Amino acid sequence: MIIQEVLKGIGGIDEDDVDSIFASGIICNWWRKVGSLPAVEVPLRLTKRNLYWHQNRYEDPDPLRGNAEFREHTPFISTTAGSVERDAFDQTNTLYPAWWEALRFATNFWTTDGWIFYCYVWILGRKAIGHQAFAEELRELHVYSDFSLFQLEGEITAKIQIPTAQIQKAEEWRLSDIQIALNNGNLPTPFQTKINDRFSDPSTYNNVRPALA
Amino acid sequence: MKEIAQELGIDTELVIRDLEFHRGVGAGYLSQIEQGVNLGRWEVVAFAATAFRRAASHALILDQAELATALFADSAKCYDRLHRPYSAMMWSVARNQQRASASSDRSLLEFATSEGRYPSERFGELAYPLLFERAAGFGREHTRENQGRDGRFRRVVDELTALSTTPLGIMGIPIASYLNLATSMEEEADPHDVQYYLLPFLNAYALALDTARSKKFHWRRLLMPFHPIEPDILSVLFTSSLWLKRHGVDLTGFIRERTEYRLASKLLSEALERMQA
Repeated sequence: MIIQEVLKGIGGIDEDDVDSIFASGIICNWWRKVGSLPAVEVPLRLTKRNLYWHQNRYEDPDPLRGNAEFREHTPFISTTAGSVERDAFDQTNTLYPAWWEALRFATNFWTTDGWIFYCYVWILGRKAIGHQAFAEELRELHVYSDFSLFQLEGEITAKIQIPTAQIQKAEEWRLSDIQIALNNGNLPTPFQTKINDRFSDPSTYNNVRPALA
Repeated sequence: MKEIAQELGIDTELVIRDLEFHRGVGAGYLSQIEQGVNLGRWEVVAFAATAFRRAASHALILDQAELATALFADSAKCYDRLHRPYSAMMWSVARNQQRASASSDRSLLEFATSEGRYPSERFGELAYPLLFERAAGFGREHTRENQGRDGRFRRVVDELTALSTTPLGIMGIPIASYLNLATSMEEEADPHDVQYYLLPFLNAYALALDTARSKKFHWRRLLMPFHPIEPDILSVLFTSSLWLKRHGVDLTGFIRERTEYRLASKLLSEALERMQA
Protein backbone atom coordinates (compact mmCIF):
# COMPACT_ATOMS: atom_id res chain seq x y z
CA MET A 1 0.00 0.00 0.00
CA ILE A 2 1.10 3.54 -0.76
CA ILE A 3 0.05 6.74 1.00
CA GLN A 4 -0.29 9.13 -1.93
CA GLU A 5 -0.44 12.90 -1.73
CA VAL A 6 -3.14 14.29 -4.04
CA LEU A 7 -4.56 17.72 -4.87
CA LYS A 8 -8.23 18.63 -5.30
CA GLY A 9 -9.27 21.94 -6.88
CA ILE A 10 -12.68 23.33 -5.90
CA GLY A 11 -14.05 26.57 -7.32
CA GLY A 12 -16.96 28.76 -6.25
CA ILE A 13 -16.45 28.34 -2.49
CA ASP A 14 -15.49 30.79 0.26
CA GLU A 15 -13.51 30.53 3.49
CA ASP A 16 -16.56 29.33 5.47
CA ASP A 17 -16.97 26.48 2.99
CA VAL A 18 -13.31 25.58 3.49
CA ASP A 19 -13.89 25.43 7.26
CA SER A 20 -16.89 23.14 6.65
CA ILE A 21 -14.73 20.86 4.50
CA PHE A 22 -12.08 20.83 7.24
CA ALA A 23 -14.85 19.75 9.65
CA SER A 24 -16.49 17.02 7.55
CA GLY A 25 -14.01 16.07 4.82
CA ILE A 26 -14.51 16.20 1.06
CA ILE A 27 -17.61 14.18 0.19
CA CYS A 28 -18.80 12.83 -3.17
CA ASN A 29 -21.64 14.43 -5.15
CA TRP A 30 -23.96 11.52 -4.33
CA TRP A 31 -23.58 12.15 -0.58
CA ARG A 32 -24.07 15.89 -1.05
CA LYS A 33 -27.24 15.27 -3.03
CA VAL A 34 -28.94 12.85 -0.62
CA GLY A 35 -27.84 14.67 2.55
CA SER A 36 -27.64 11.52 4.63
CA LEU A 37 -25.68 8.70 3.05
CA PRO A 38 -27.47 5.31 2.89
CA ALA A 39 -24.51 3.15 3.94
CA VAL A 40 -26.20 -0.03 2.74
CA GLU A 41 -26.05 1.29 -0.84
CA VAL A 42 -22.33 2.12 -0.84
CA PRO A 43 -21.11 -1.33 -2.00
CA LEU A 44 -23.73 -1.28 -4.77
CA ARG A 45 -22.41 2.05 -6.07
CA LEU A 46 -18.69 1.24 -5.99
CA THR A 47 -18.69 -0.73 -9.23
CA LYS A 48 -16.52 -0.88 -12.32
CA ARG A 49 -19.46 0.37 -14.35
CA ASN A 50 -19.79 3.50 -12.24
CA LEU A 51 -16.04 4.16 -12.24
CA TYR A 52 -16.05 4.07 -16.05
CA TRP A 53 -19.11 6.32 -16.16
CA HIS A 54 -17.36 8.72 -13.77
CA GLN A 55 -14.38 8.88 -16.11
CA ASN A 56 -16.01 8.71 -19.52
CA ARG A 57 -19.68 9.71 -19.25
CA TYR A 58 -19.62 12.21 -16.42
CA GLU A 59 -22.28 14.52 -17.86
CA ASP A 60 -24.39 11.90 -19.66
CA PRO A 61 -27.91 10.97 -18.53
CA ASP A 62 -27.70 7.82 -16.43
CA PRO A 63 -30.58 5.39 -17.10
CA LEU A 64 -29.98 3.78 -13.68
CA ARG A 65 -30.73 7.14 -11.97
CA GLY A 66 -33.83 8.29 -13.86
CA ASN A 67 -31.66 9.83 -16.57
CA ALA A 68 -30.16 12.41 -14.21
CA GLU A 69 -26.60 13.37 -15.21
CA PHE A 70 -24.19 10.79 -13.82
CA ARG A 71 -22.13 13.43 -12.03
CA GLU A 72 -25.06 14.29 -9.74
CA HIS A 73 -24.90 10.79 -8.28
CA THR A 74 -21.26 9.85 -8.59
CA PRO A 75 -19.80 8.07 -5.55
CA PHE A 76 -16.29 8.97 -6.73
CA ILE A 77 -14.11 12.05 -6.14
CA SER A 78 -11.54 13.06 -8.78
CA THR A 79 -8.14 14.25 -7.56
CA THR A 80 -4.75 14.64 -9.21
CA ALA A 81 -1.18 13.70 -8.32
CA GLY A 82 0.64 14.71 -11.51
CA SER A 83 2.39 12.43 -14.02
CA VAL A 84 4.04 9.15 -13.09
CA GLU A 85 7.32 11.04 -13.34
CA ARG A 86 10.13 9.46 -15.31
CA ASP A 87 8.17 6.59 -16.88
CA ALA A 88 5.61 8.94 -18.34
CA PHE A 89 8.18 11.42 -19.62
CA ASP A 90 10.32 8.75 -21.25
CA GLN A 91 7.39 7.43 -23.26
CA THR A 92 5.32 10.54 -23.95
CA ASN A 93 7.80 13.45 -23.71
CA THR A 94 5.32 15.24 -21.46
CA LEU A 95 5.29 15.81 -17.70
CA TYR A 96 2.53 17.44 -15.67
CA PRO A 97 2.77 18.71 -12.09
CA ALA A 98 -0.34 18.14 -9.97
CA TRP A 99 -1.05 21.82 -9.31
CA TRP A 100 -1.79 22.67 -12.97
CA GLU A 101 -4.77 20.34 -13.11
CA ALA A 102 -5.96 21.23 -9.62
CA LEU A 103 -5.77 24.94 -10.47
CA ARG A 104 -7.82 24.45 -13.63
CA PHE A 105 -10.67 23.05 -11.56
CA ALA A 106 -10.19 25.47 -8.66
CA THR A 107 -10.55 28.44 -11.01
CA ASN A 108 -13.34 26.80 -13.00
CA PHE A 109 -11.05 26.88 -16.03
CA TRP A 110 -9.61 30.33 -15.43
CA THR A 111 -12.88 32.17 -14.72
CA THR A 112 -13.11 32.44 -10.88
CA ASP A 113 -11.07 32.42 -7.68
CA GLY A 114 -10.79 29.00 -6.02
CA TRP A 115 -9.14 26.68 -3.52
CA ILE A 116 -6.72 23.76 -3.81
CA PHE A 117 -6.90 21.12 -1.06
CA TYR A 118 -3.83 19.02 -0.22
CA CYS A 119 -4.86 15.52 0.86
CA TYR A 120 -3.55 11.99 1.30
CA VAL A 121 -5.29 8.87 -0.02
CA TRP A 122 -4.40 5.20 0.24
CA ILE A 123 -3.50 3.32 -2.95
CA LEU A 124 -3.22 -0.42 -3.31
CA GLY A 125 -1.21 -0.64 -6.57
CA ARG A 126 -3.92 -2.67 -8.31
CA LYS A 127 -7.64 -2.34 -9.02
CA ALA A 128 -9.68 -2.25 -5.80
CA ILE A 129 -12.94 -0.67 -6.94
CA GLY A 130 -15.15 -2.28 -4.29
CA HIS A 131 -12.94 -1.15 -1.43
CA GLN A 132 -14.04 2.26 -0.23
CA ALA A 133 -10.81 2.84 1.68
CA PHE A 134 -8.57 2.68 -1.41
CA ALA A 135 -8.37 5.22 -4.22
CA GLU A 136 -8.00 4.10 -7.85
CA GLU A 137 -4.81 5.21 -9.61
CA LEU A 138 -6.08 5.83 -13.15
CA ARG A 139 -2.77 7.49 -14.10
CA GLU A 140 -0.92 4.22 -13.53
CA LEU A 141 -0.41 2.89 -17.06
CA HIS A 142 0.04 -0.71 -15.94
CA VAL A 143 -3.22 -0.89 -13.97
CA TYR A 144 -5.53 1.23 -16.15
CA SER A 145 -3.82 1.20 -19.55
CA ASP A 146 -7.08 1.96 -21.38
CA PHE A 147 -7.38 5.39 -19.74
CA SER A 148 -3.90 6.74 -20.38
CA LEU A 149 -4.54 8.95 -23.44
CA PHE A 150 -7.89 10.32 -22.50
CA GLN A 151 -7.87 11.04 -18.79
CA LEU A 152 -6.84 14.01 -16.75
CA GLU A 153 -3.14 14.15 -16.26
CA GLY A 154 -2.34 12.23 -13.10
CA GLU A 155 -5.91 11.33 -12.13
CA ILE A 156 -6.45 9.46 -8.87
CA THR A 157 -10.07 8.72 -7.96
CA ALA A 158 -11.12 8.61 -4.30
CA LYS A 159 -14.39 7.08 -3.10
CA ILE A 160 -17.32 8.44 -1.07
CA GLN A 161 -15.26 10.73 1.21
CA ILE A 162 -11.77 12.06 1.82
CA PRO A 163 -11.87 12.25 5.64
CA THR A 164 -10.74 15.45 7.35
CA ALA A 165 -7.84 13.61 9.00
CA GLN A 166 -6.42 13.16 5.47
CA ILE A 167 -6.70 16.85 4.47
CA GLN A 168 -3.58 18.80 5.33
CA LYS A 169 -4.29 22.31 4.09
CA ALA A 170 -6.10 24.45 1.54
CA GLU A 171 -4.66 27.23 -0.60
CA GLU A 172 -6.68 30.15 -1.90
CA TRP A 173 -5.83 31.12 -5.47
CA ARG A 174 -7.03 34.44 -6.86
CA LEU A 175 -7.48 34.73 -10.59
CA SER A 176 -6.19 38.31 -10.75
CA ASP A 177 -2.96 37.32 -8.93
CA ILE A 178 -2.47 34.37 -11.31
CA GLN A 179 -2.85 36.60 -14.35
CA ILE A 180 -0.45 39.25 -13.02
CA ALA A 181 2.21 36.63 -12.22
CA LEU A 182 1.93 34.97 -15.64
CA ASN A 183 2.00 38.30 -17.48
CA ASN A 184 5.23 39.13 -15.61
CA GLY A 185 6.84 35.82 -16.56
CA ASN A 186 6.57 34.38 -13.04
CA LEU A 187 4.93 31.27 -11.64
CA PRO A 188 1.74 32.13 -9.76
CA THR A 189 1.50 31.60 -6.00
CA PRO A 190 -1.49 31.21 -3.66
CA PHE A 191 -3.05 34.23 -1.94
CA GLN A 192 -3.24 32.43 1.42
CA THR A 193 -2.90 28.97 2.98
CA LYS A 194 -5.21 27.56 5.66
CA ILE A 195 -3.98 24.66 7.79
CA ASN A 196 -6.43 21.96 8.89
CA ASP A 197 -6.11 21.35 12.66
CA ARG A 198 -7.81 17.95 12.29
CA PHE A 199 -5.14 16.67 9.91
CA SER A 200 -3.34 13.56 11.10
CA ASP A 201 0.14 13.63 9.57
CA PRO A 202 0.90 10.34 7.77
CA SER A 203 4.63 11.05 7.59
CA THR A 204 5.06 8.81 10.63
CA TYR A 205 3.94 5.88 8.48
CA ASN A 206 5.82 4.05 5.75
CA ASN A 207 5.30 4.50 2.01
CA VAL A 208 4.37 8.17 1.86
CA ARG A 209 4.75 9.30 -1.74
CA PRO A 210 4.55 13.02 -2.57
CA ALA A 211 2.65 14.46 -5.54
CA LEU A 212 4.77 15.75 -8.39
CA ALA A 213 5.32 19.47 -7.76
CA MET B 1 -9.43 25.83 -37.82
CA LYS B 2 -11.22 27.65 -34.99
CA GLU B 3 -14.53 27.04 -36.74
CA ILE B 4 -13.79 23.31 -37.06
CA ALA B 5 -12.91 23.17 -33.36
CA GLN B 6 -16.17 24.90 -32.44
CA GLU B 7 -18.06 22.57 -34.77
CA LEU B 8 -16.45 19.69 -32.87
CA GLY B 9 -17.72 21.00 -29.55
CA ILE B 10 -14.39 22.28 -28.18
CA ASP B 11 -14.79 25.34 -25.95
CA THR B 12 -12.47 27.72 -27.82
CA GLU B 13 -12.88 30.49 -25.21
CA LEU B 14 -11.43 28.05 -22.68
CA VAL B 15 -8.62 27.21 -25.12
CA ILE B 16 -7.73 30.94 -25.29
CA ARG B 17 -7.42 31.11 -21.49
CA ASP B 18 -5.61 27.78 -21.29
CA LEU B 19 -3.10 28.96 -23.93
CA GLU B 20 -2.23 31.98 -21.80
CA PHE B 21 -1.77 29.77 -18.73
CA HIS B 22 0.52 27.26 -20.45
CA ARG B 23 2.57 29.94 -22.18
CA GLY B 24 2.85 31.79 -18.86
CA VAL B 25 3.91 28.83 -16.73
CA GLY B 26 6.39 27.71 -19.39
CA ALA B 27 8.01 31.16 -19.21
CA GLY B 28 7.77 31.10 -15.40
CA TYR B 29 9.66 27.83 -15.12
CA LEU B 30 12.34 29.04 -17.55
CA SER B 31 12.70 32.24 -15.58
CA GLN B 32 13.26 30.13 -12.43
CA ILE B 33 15.98 28.15 -14.20
CA GLU B 34 17.68 31.34 -15.41
CA GLN B 35 17.61 32.73 -11.87
CA GLY B 36 19.27 29.59 -10.59
CA VAL B 37 16.15 28.35 -8.74
CA ASN B 38 15.50 24.61 -8.88
CA LEU B 39 18.77 24.04 -10.74
CA GLY B 40 19.42 20.37 -11.21
CA ARG B 41 15.74 19.44 -11.18
CA TRP B 42 15.12 18.00 -14.64
CA GLU B 43 11.38 17.99 -13.96
CA VAL B 44 11.23 21.77 -14.06
CA VAL B 45 12.60 21.85 -17.63
CA ALA B 46 10.23 19.01 -18.57
CA PHE B 47 7.27 21.02 -17.19
CA ALA B 48 8.31 24.01 -19.32
CA ALA B 49 8.72 21.81 -22.43
CA THR B 50 5.28 20.30 -21.84
CA ALA B 51 3.64 23.68 -21.25
CA PHE B 52 5.08 25.27 -24.44
CA ARG B 53 4.23 22.18 -26.49
CA ARG B 54 0.60 22.28 -25.33
CA ALA B 55 0.36 26.05 -25.79
CA ALA B 56 1.60 25.65 -29.38
CA SER B 57 -1.17 23.17 -30.19
CA HIS B 58 -3.72 25.50 -28.61
CA ALA B 59 -2.38 28.34 -30.78
CA LEU B 60 -2.88 26.24 -33.91
CA ILE B 61 -6.50 25.55 -32.99
CA LEU B 62 -6.96 29.30 -32.63
CA ASP B 63 -5.46 29.96 -36.09
CA GLN B 64 -2.33 31.57 -34.64
CA ALA B 65 0.25 29.68 -36.72
CA GLU B 66 3.08 32.17 -36.13
CA LEU B 67 2.63 31.99 -32.38
CA ALA B 68 2.48 28.17 -32.61
CA THR B 69 5.80 28.14 -34.45
CA ALA B 70 7.42 30.30 -31.77
CA LEU B 71 6.02 28.13 -28.96
CA PHE B 72 7.18 24.91 -30.61
CA ALA B 73 10.64 26.51 -30.79
CA ASP B 74 10.47 27.37 -27.07
CA SER B 75 9.53 23.77 -26.38
CA ALA B 76 12.37 22.49 -28.58
CA LYS B 77 14.88 24.57 -26.60
CA CYS B 78 13.71 22.86 -23.41
CA TYR B 79 14.04 19.37 -24.94
CA ASP B 80 17.54 20.41 -26.09
CA ARG B 81 18.36 21.37 -22.49
CA LEU B 82 17.30 17.88 -21.46
CA HIS B 83 19.36 16.32 -24.30
CA ARG B 84 16.22 14.67 -25.61
CA PRO B 85 16.29 13.44 -29.23
CA TYR B 86 12.62 14.52 -29.41
CA SER B 87 13.83 18.12 -29.83
CA ALA B 88 14.46 17.36 -33.53
CA MET B 89 10.72 16.89 -34.02
CA MET B 90 9.86 20.10 -32.16
CA TRP B 91 12.42 22.08 -34.19
CA SER B 92 11.02 20.52 -37.35
CA VAL B 93 7.46 21.57 -36.56
CA ALA B 94 8.82 24.98 -35.51
CA ARG B 95 10.04 25.18 -39.13
CA ASN B 96 13.66 25.54 -38.11
CA GLN B 97 15.27 22.81 -40.20
CA GLN B 98 18.77 23.97 -39.33
CA ARG B 99 18.23 23.45 -35.60
CA ALA B 100 16.33 20.20 -36.28
CA SER B 101 19.30 18.95 -38.28
CA ALA B 102 21.75 19.93 -35.54
CA SER B 103 19.64 18.16 -32.89
CA SER B 104 19.21 15.07 -35.03
CA ASP B 105 22.89 14.85 -35.88
CA ARG B 106 23.92 15.40 -32.26
CA SER B 107 21.61 12.65 -30.95
CA LEU B 108 22.83 10.02 -33.39
CA LEU B 109 26.44 11.04 -32.87
CA GLU B 110 26.05 10.81 -29.09
CA PHE B 111 24.72 7.29 -29.49
CA ALA B 112 27.46 6.28 -31.91
CA THR B 113 30.20 7.51 -29.61
CA SER B 114 28.66 6.23 -26.37
CA GLU B 115 30.03 2.70 -26.79
CA GLY B 116 27.03 1.08 -25.13
CA ARG B 117 26.65 3.70 -22.40
CA TYR B 118 23.86 5.71 -24.05
CA PRO B 119 21.19 6.62 -21.43
CA SER B 120 18.51 3.94 -21.61
CA GLU B 121 15.64 6.39 -21.00
CA ARG B 122 16.47 8.18 -24.26
CA PHE B 123 17.22 5.12 -26.35
CA GLY B 124 13.75 4.61 -27.88
CA GLU B 125 13.56 8.32 -28.68
CA LEU B 126 16.33 7.91 -31.25
CA ALA B 127 13.50 6.95 -33.63
CA TYR B 128 12.74 10.67 -33.95
CA PRO B 129 16.09 11.80 -35.38
CA LEU B 130 16.00 8.80 -37.73
CA LEU B 131 12.83 10.20 -39.28
CA PHE B 132 14.34 13.63 -39.64
CA GLU B 133 17.60 12.36 -41.15
CA ARG B 134 15.83 10.63 -44.04
CA ALA B 135 13.07 13.21 -44.51
CA ALA B 136 15.60 16.02 -44.79
CA GLY B 137 17.53 14.03 -47.39
CA PHE B 138 20.98 13.69 -45.89
CA GLY B 139 22.80 11.29 -48.11
CA ARG B 140 21.57 12.82 -51.36
CA GLU B 141 24.98 14.29 -51.92
CA HIS B 142 27.88 11.93 -51.37
CA THR B 143 29.98 14.13 -49.15
CA ARG B 144 32.10 12.71 -46.36
CA GLU B 145 29.82 14.31 -43.75
CA ASN B 146 26.71 12.76 -45.28
CA GLN B 147 28.36 9.37 -45.46
CA GLY B 148 29.06 9.64 -41.74
CA ARG B 149 25.44 10.56 -41.04
CA ASP B 150 24.22 7.70 -43.21
CA GLY B 151 26.44 5.25 -41.34
CA ARG B 152 25.10 6.41 -37.98
CA PHE B 153 21.54 6.22 -39.33
CA ARG B 154 21.96 2.58 -40.33
CA ARG B 155 23.65 1.72 -37.05
CA VAL B 156 20.82 3.19 -34.96
CA VAL B 157 18.13 1.56 -37.12
CA ASP B 158 19.82 -1.76 -36.50
CA GLU B 159 19.98 -1.16 -32.74
CA LEU B 160 16.39 0.06 -32.43
CA THR B 161 15.02 -3.03 -34.17
CA ALA B 162 15.27 -4.72 -30.77
CA LEU B 163 12.67 -2.23 -29.47
CA SER B 164 10.22 -2.71 -32.37
CA THR B 165 7.15 -3.31 -30.24
CA THR B 166 7.89 -0.62 -27.63
CA PRO B 167 5.26 2.14 -27.65
CA LEU B 168 6.50 5.67 -28.26
CA GLY B 169 4.83 9.06 -27.85
CA ILE B 170 1.44 10.12 -26.53
CA MET B 171 -0.41 7.71 -28.81
CA GLY B 172 1.84 4.77 -28.00
CA ILE B 173 2.68 3.99 -31.63
CA PRO B 174 5.22 1.12 -31.82
CA ILE B 175 8.80 2.04 -32.65
CA ALA B 176 8.57 -0.33 -35.64
CA SER B 177 6.22 2.15 -37.34
CA TYR B 178 8.83 4.91 -36.96
CA LEU B 179 11.58 2.66 -38.29
CA ASN B 180 9.48 1.56 -41.28
CA LEU B 181 8.66 5.14 -42.17
CA ALA B 182 12.23 6.37 -41.73
CA THR B 183 13.77 3.57 -43.81
CA SER B 184 11.12 3.93 -46.52
CA MET B 185 12.31 7.47 -47.28
CA GLU B 186 15.21 6.49 -49.52
CA GLU B 187 15.72 9.11 -52.23
CA GLU B 188 14.85 6.72 -55.05
CA ALA B 189 11.81 5.26 -53.22
CA ASP B 190 8.29 5.26 -54.60
CA PRO B 191 6.20 7.96 -52.81
CA HIS B 192 3.36 5.44 -52.50
CA ASP B 193 5.55 3.36 -50.19
CA VAL B 194 6.20 6.34 -47.95
CA GLN B 195 2.48 7.13 -47.89
CA TYR B 196 1.78 3.51 -46.98
CA TYR B 197 4.07 3.72 -43.96
CA LEU B 198 2.30 6.89 -42.82
CA LEU B 199 -0.96 4.96 -42.47
CA PRO B 200 -0.26 3.56 -38.95
CA PHE B 201 0.20 7.14 -37.74
CA LEU B 202 -2.94 8.42 -39.45
CA ASN B 203 -5.01 5.47 -38.23
CA ALA B 204 -3.77 5.81 -34.63
CA TYR B 205 -4.61 9.51 -34.71
CA ALA B 206 -8.08 8.92 -36.15
CA LEU B 207 -8.88 6.32 -33.50
CA ALA B 208 -7.55 8.52 -30.70
CA LEU B 209 -9.60 11.46 -31.95
CA ASP B 210 -12.83 9.45 -32.15
CA THR B 211 -12.28 8.01 -28.68
CA ALA B 212 -11.38 11.37 -27.20
CA ARG B 213 -14.52 12.96 -28.67
CA SER B 214 -16.72 10.32 -27.12
CA LYS B 215 -15.61 11.48 -23.65
CA LYS B 216 -17.57 14.70 -23.87
CA PHE B 217 -16.72 16.27 -20.50
CA HIS B 218 -12.99 15.92 -21.08
CA TRP B 219 -13.13 16.69 -24.80
CA ARG B 220 -14.95 20.00 -24.49
CA ARG B 221 -12.34 21.22 -21.99
CA LEU B 222 -9.37 19.39 -23.56
CA LEU B 223 -8.78 17.61 -20.23
CA MET B 224 -6.54 14.91 -21.60
CA PRO B 225 -2.88 14.42 -22.50
CA PHE B 226 -3.87 13.79 -26.15
CA HIS B 227 -4.51 17.02 -28.08
CA PRO B 228 -6.79 17.36 -31.15
CA ILE B 229 -3.79 18.94 -32.89
CA GLU B 230 -1.43 16.41 -31.38
CA PRO B 231 2.21 17.53 -31.79
CA ASP B 232 3.34 13.90 -32.05
CA ILE B 233 1.31 13.27 -35.22
CA LEU B 234 1.78 16.79 -36.59
CA SER B 235 5.55 16.60 -36.29
CA VAL B 236 5.76 13.18 -37.97
CA LEU B 237 3.61 14.40 -40.87
CA PHE B 238 5.35 17.75 -41.15
CA THR B 239 8.76 16.08 -41.16
CA SER B 240 7.69 13.45 -43.72
CA SER B 241 6.25 16.16 -45.93
CA LEU B 242 9.82 17.41 -46.49
CA TRP B 243 10.58 14.17 -48.35
CA LEU B 244 7.20 14.02 -50.09
CA LYS B 245 7.47 17.61 -51.30
CA ARG B 246 10.86 16.86 -52.88
CA HIS B 247 9.17 14.01 -54.75
CA GLY B 248 6.27 16.12 -55.99
CA VAL B 249 3.62 14.76 -53.59
CA ASP B 250 1.24 16.97 -51.66
CA LEU B 251 0.72 15.36 -48.23
CA THR B 252 -2.37 17.39 -47.37
CA GLY B 253 -4.04 16.10 -50.54
CA PHE B 254 -3.23 12.53 -49.53
CA ILE B 255 -4.69 13.09 -46.05
CA ARG B 256 -7.84 14.66 -47.47
CA GLU B 257 -8.39 11.65 -49.72
CA ARG B 258 -8.68 9.45 -46.65
CA THR B 259 -12.41 10.01 -46.45
CA GLU B 260 -13.05 7.15 -44.05
CA TYR B 261 -11.95 9.45 -41.24
CA ARG B 262 -13.29 12.79 -42.43
CA LEU B 263 -12.94 14.61 -39.17
CA ALA B 264 -9.35 13.56 -38.53
CA SER B 265 -8.44 14.32 -42.16
CA LYS B 266 -9.97 17.77 -41.96
CA LEU B 267 -8.20 18.73 -38.74
CA LEU B 268 -4.81 17.39 -39.78
CA SER B 269 -4.79 18.78 -43.30
CA GLU B 270 -5.88 22.22 -42.04
CA ALA B 271 -3.16 22.19 -39.37
CA LEU B 272 -0.51 21.17 -41.89
CA GLU B 273 -1.58 23.84 -44.34
CA ARG B 274 -1.38 26.49 -41.63
CA MET B 275 2.11 25.30 -40.68
CA GLN B 276 3.31 25.20 -44.28
CA ALA B 277 1.83 28.57 -45.25
